[in-house]
Amino acid sequence: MIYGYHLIICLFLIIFQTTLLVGGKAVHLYDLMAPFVVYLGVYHLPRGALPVLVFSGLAMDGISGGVFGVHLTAYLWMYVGVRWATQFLQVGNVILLPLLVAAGVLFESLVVAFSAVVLTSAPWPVESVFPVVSGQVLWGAVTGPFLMLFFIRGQKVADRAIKSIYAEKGPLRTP
Amino acid sequence: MFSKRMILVALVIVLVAVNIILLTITGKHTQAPSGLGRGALVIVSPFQKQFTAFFDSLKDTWNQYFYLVSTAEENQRLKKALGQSLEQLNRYSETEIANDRLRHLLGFEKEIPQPMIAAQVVGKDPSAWSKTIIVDKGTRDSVRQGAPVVIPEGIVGVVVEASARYAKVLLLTDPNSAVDALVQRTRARGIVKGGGADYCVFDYVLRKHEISVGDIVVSSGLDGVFPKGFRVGRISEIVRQNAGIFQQVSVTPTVDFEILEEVLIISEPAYESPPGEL
Repeated sequence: MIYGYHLIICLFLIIFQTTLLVGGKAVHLYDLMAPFVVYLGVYHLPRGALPVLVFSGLAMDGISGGVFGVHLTAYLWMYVGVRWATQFLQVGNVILLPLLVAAGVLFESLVVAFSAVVLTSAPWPVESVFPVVSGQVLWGAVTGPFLMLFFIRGQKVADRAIKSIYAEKGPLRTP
Repeated sequence: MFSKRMILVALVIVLVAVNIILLTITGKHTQAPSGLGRGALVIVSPFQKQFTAFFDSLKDTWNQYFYLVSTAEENQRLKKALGQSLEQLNRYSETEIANDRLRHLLGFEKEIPQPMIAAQVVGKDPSAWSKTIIVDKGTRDSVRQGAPVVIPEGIVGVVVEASARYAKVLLLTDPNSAVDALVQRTRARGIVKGGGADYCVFDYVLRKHEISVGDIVVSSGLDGVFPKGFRVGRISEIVRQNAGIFQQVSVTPTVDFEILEEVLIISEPAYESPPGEL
């Protein structure tokens, strides 16, 4: 069931940012999947997170016109990095969690920028990286933690809903 | 001999290296390997289409109805009457605008000898580093990879990937885009490439050619993709350096990519092989 919740969230984020949050005014919009990947890294084991990461990475790469595989790469390495960081960081801390989200957005922005500047057949100029990445990190640092809270609360609601469904079904199973 | 930590570090380094090599290989191609990108189009694009349609209708309602009705707050009776009239009027005006737009497209379509397919934009690339859109026509509608995409105002881009019902279009402003073009007034030739932001660069224009800001740039038809004579943009900046044989020219596209709603996909190649040539 938790796979369903995660898939719905990532599908919603992908569709939301490819239909509504696009256009000339949104050049500093960061990938909304970055805070979600940080959330998965902090709260979910690889068994529950990897299928969602692979699906969302391939979906973003398929929709985007950038280097194929770059989103998948960013999500997987970001997840590994967050899992590693959680071994020695108190990530529930009110300061560390937003920092972790900002670091995730920074990492993702840098990976995508690196692919656009270095790996593609028609590279962007290097000087274009700083304004884009700095804008994305700033927006990510401000809004990313709120998204994290939304994911955490959403999971609690989903858990309660699942429990109530099973509780309703339970008495029917017993003879 | 080796500690567990060293093996782990070595493994991470190897994985990063393999990862970068794979990305370098895929970075040289605009199409995703093994149709993986098409899979994403198949799964995500139908939702994009529904989402876009839903929010367009919400936006229209908000802009056309609530906003106008709120201006007539001073009189309840008039507000009600005015609201009903405006609602009706807005429906008519929306229909009229859509009608004009489609007639414009239809008239334009008749001017072009090649068959065209009208498509609606259902999604856009959220990344700042690539400029693509998703349209709601695919291989089932005879849309093929490499098909040019235009609107009456000028060139939009080229189809880089197509699933059965949806296609991904690389916009003219993407750095991977290139159109063989010429200045309409002086016939100076060059290649228009995407500049990444809202402009294009006009490369390989010889210094000897007299061109000026405001000149219209059109497709030459020599690239075998875009038919001849389609507007690409207007020259917005010219830099003639002391050295070198080319001038640096910037072009502002005639198409406003921010408000693209419908596009036309040319379903046959611009270049027709001469009779007898296979």
